[in-house]
Amino acid sequence: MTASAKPKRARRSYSVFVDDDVCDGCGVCVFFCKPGVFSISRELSRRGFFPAEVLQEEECNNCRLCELGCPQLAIYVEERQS
Amino acid sequence: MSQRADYLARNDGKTHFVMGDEAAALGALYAGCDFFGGYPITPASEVAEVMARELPKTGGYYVQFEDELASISAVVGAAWAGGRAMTATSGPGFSLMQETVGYAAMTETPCVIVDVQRSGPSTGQATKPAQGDVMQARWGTHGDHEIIALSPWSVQESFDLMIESFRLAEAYRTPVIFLTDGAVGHFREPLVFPRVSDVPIAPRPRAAKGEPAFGGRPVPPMAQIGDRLDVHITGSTHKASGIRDVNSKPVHEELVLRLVDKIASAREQLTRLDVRHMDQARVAVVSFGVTARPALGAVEAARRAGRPAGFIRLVGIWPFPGPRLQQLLADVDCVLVPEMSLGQVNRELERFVRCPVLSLPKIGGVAHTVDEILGPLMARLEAR
Amino acid sequence: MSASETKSNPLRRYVRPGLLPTIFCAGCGGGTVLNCFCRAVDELELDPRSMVMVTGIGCSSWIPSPYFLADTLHTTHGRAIAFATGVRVMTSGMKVVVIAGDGDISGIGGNHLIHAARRNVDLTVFMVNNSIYGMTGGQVAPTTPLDVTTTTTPHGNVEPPFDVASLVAAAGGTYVARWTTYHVFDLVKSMKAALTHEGFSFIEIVSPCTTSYAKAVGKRSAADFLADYKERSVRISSAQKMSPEELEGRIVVGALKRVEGAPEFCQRLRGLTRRVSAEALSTREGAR
Repeated sequence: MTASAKPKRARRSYSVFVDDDVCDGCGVCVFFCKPGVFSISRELSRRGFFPAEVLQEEECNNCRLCELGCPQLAIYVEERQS
Repeated sequence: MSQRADYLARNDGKTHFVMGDEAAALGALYAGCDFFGGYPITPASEVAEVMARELPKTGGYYVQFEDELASISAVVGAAWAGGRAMTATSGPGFSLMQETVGYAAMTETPCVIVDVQRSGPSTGQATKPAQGDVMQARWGTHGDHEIIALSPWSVQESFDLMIESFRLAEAYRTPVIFLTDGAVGHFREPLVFPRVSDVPIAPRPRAAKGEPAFGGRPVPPMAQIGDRLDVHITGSTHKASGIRDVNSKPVHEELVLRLVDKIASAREQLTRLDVRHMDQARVAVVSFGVTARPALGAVEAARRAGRPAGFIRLVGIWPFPGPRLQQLLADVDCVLVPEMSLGQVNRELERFVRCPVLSLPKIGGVAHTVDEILGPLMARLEAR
Repeated sequence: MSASETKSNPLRRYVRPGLLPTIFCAGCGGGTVLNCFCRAVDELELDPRSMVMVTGIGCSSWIPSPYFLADTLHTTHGRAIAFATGVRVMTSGMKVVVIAGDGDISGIGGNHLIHAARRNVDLTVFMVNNSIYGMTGGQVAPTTPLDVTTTTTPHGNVEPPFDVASLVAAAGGTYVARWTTYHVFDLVKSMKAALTHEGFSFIEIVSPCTTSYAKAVGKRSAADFLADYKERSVRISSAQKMSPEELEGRIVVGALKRVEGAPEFCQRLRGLTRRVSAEALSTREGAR
């Protein structure tokens, strides 16, 4: 995990989990995510898909569009306890 | 006593003069029917009309649907929600219902379908009786399946066999076809009501948590909607749990063979025949429904003339009581099968007996007269 | 994947165990509908054991069957609403939910749809509209737009499509809405409204078919469809001020009709049975 420079006020941060075992790389999360948390991996998952991967977790703004839009219920967004 | 029983008890031991359709509806009330979904069609509409009037009095629900497809679908839905459900129709409506009859067989849904046969094919002679739906009752829906079908010949029997139909539906977890005809449905005869306390409602065994509801034994207990068992009911091939599995040959075989076997292997218990004058009979008349009335007249006339004629009436049509008929007809020279169709039961009988089977078809909506059966009967008796 | 241990979406507790991933094609809107439905149920704190799912035949009918963990009646093509009516009459206190596709509900099932709406039966119906018969490989549906080539309209579709939500509203549905799988938050809200509404609730959910229909209209992925929905959607409040020409090709979303307190079918039926059986007690007549 990369450390980001701390802003003046403590910012909430979120963990974004993608379950590789159910993700089929459909790209809905990539479409929905404004801050660009996701990208499609170039490595095959063990199920033979190019799954979504979390590229920039620190950019997550907790809108949860990805979590709700995911057709495989593969995504979970959780607020990190500071 | 429940309110329903209180109400029905008012007819204890009474005799009413009613038509067969009405008797069938009244029988359903005694059997515990609490849901009727139907659509008007001649000559079955009277079943619906009696149910519309009487079913709410016993705490049940009557719904007239937009078509027969909705009717039979709602009947199945109601059954899965705990109802004792039925519908009533005739040939064209029965044709529409076939897909869901198969669905009911595949999902093992207890329900009763009344078919008051009329002259076909197609719209045919809508108001005239016939007996041309026998094979449709057996094979109208696609695929491998068995069916139970009963056929009354009187108003009293219309009442009694309806109760039996509901009982068999529960005992075998299957749709049951009540195969009557426009003559029996519409003529009026005395109906003697039993004491309602003498007519128990057939039990419906229920699955316990963890018990397979679609396998495990020949007739599995039912897991109903609302039993909190997350039951999964599907017309696709499924495992004993009810979950669909269409990719496995053994799963399909196990399911379909069990469904077929549970009824086929009970052929003996499901055999219901009205056998008269068969001792030393050389020529027998095999008939069912309204046609059995002139058939009996002909056989008795032959006997009065000193001729050895025999009478067998099919009360249970499906599963076909072939083995028992084979026994009964072992020493007979020939069998006559009068039917108000071009012949359907005769074909089935031919599979079981070696002696000649002579079809006596009559179409056009008019029942056989005694002479129309007696003539060929005497000719055969004298020809030996 | 995050460096820490993977955690899964808690809504999975509404899914029959061991069945994820679904068999839906990658990006299929059906999966999004399932997701939103689980969220709606969760937010309403509904007990799935007080629910029964009734479905038909087609991809969308697989959304609850077998994925949603509850009593499930997977029926014949087009008849789910009729089966559901029988279930609803005989159960009280259970929520009866129908989820099926546009071909199933408005094509072969059209008659049952309009009559159930007319009766105002207390059902919650989600028609997942992907504008195609997807499961059978991509044949034209009553909701396929004009001119589209499908496997059975290889020379172009010559039939105009149904506006199913309007049809249901006109037939008597008392909560009628349309959303797309782009509008996930609105969809959850609408599902909650539909589930709690007493009467015939209907949501037309415009949804991507990323294989059969995508091929028909030259799209490649779910994102293509979602971008299209985003662009073409117009909320009902705005649509009401627009002309038919301006609305051409647009998807009108929102609650199109909401009537509270209309007489509901099962209530009327139960009322009838109660009244008639009470009356029967007060006379001395027997059944005839």
